[in-house]
Amino acid sequence: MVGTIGILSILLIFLITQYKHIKQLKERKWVYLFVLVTAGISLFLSLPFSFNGLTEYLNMTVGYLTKMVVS
Amino acid sequence: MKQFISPFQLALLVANFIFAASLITLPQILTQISNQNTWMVPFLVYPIVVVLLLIGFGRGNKAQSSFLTEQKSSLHHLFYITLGLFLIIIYIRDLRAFVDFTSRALLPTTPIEVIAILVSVVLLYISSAGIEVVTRITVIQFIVLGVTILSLPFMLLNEIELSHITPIFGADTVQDLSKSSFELFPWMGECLIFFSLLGNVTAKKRVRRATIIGVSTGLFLLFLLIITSIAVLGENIVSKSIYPNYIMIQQINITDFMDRLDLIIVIIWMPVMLSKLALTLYCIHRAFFNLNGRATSNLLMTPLSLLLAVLAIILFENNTVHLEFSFLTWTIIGIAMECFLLILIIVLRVRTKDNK
Repeated sequence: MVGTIGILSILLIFLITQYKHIKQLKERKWVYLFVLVTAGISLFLSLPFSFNGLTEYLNMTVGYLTKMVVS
Repeated sequence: MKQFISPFQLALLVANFIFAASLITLPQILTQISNQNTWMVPFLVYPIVVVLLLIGFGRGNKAQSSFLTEQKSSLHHLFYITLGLFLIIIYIRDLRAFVDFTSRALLPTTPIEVIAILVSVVLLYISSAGIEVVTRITVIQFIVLGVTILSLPFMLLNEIELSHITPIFGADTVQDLSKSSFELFPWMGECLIFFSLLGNVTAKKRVRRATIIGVSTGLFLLFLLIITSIAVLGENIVSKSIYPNYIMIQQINITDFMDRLDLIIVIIWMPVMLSKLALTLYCIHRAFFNLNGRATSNLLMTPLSLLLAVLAIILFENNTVHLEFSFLTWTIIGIAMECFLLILIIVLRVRTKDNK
């Protein structure tokens, strides 16, 4: 929960302080998209879901090749 | 305005890039595989890395010219996208390693999310200033760390046991050393990212030499750390502890009032690691949003650094998953991506007209 609040606060401060600069930017859509994605993913810090499955899957499949070489 | 660095600064950037993160946990897995002969592994990997760099550079300064061009071809874009993905993996892996180490050694009661966010804000501040600032910070801090590591064998003279590092040759020695080299190679091959920074180096002639000096310095310091930790702790402790170098520097006991030098050395190492992460973040931003390396808007860097910090936390449930990723998954992914990047560098170089 602390992590999510921290990230959302930093993003909010960033948007408020840099609003004028973002408005003049050509790639402002990208900035807003990144802010939205970051805010969305930061929710996973406090929710009981995790992306850990992806890493464990990679460790089991790709990592298995290294295991075969090393052991 | 485009920012420039000198060949000397490039050499130290290379050395720092391959050395700063590999010293955290890598000696453990290497020692697990090749026991007390592990200190020989850097000497086996060194010629391979140098030969690959020489192949990448080729003759003359075509490699540099291919990255100096303002008009980027589709091959350039493919190179930068691959490089960006490669750097994202390195950044997430290193940031999590740094956060886990800080959490375990220095701030055990602080949540890792908070450490990750604070580190990301610091990195954001450094990276936004550009390549020149990142380089100056790296040079100052790396020289201090280098001198500290060179003095480690003298500080630990009373703890060193030479029998721990005596080479033992058996039937499996060559096989074990080859397996260790396989583990170490992708960590050292990270130096390939410097092809993307060639456009920012002022001199044209000494670049290749500077890169090789950087690789030599980084590998020599890693060798010194591995041999000192095995000599002091023995292969059993090194192969079982997650942070063998940290345990090794805890053995420094010069006098009664200087028995906590480990904290000072960790404080010297931290800025070096931060400058590596800052350079990685800078290169990720550049690879995706600013190919020519000009001082343009850094507004995308804030959400980008926070996003990567969140991913570094949620992608690894605990330290074990992260270690498995670093030791097993990264080895294959790293070798595959480095080979692909090298092929792209060679193709880009061959396609560039000689600008003599």
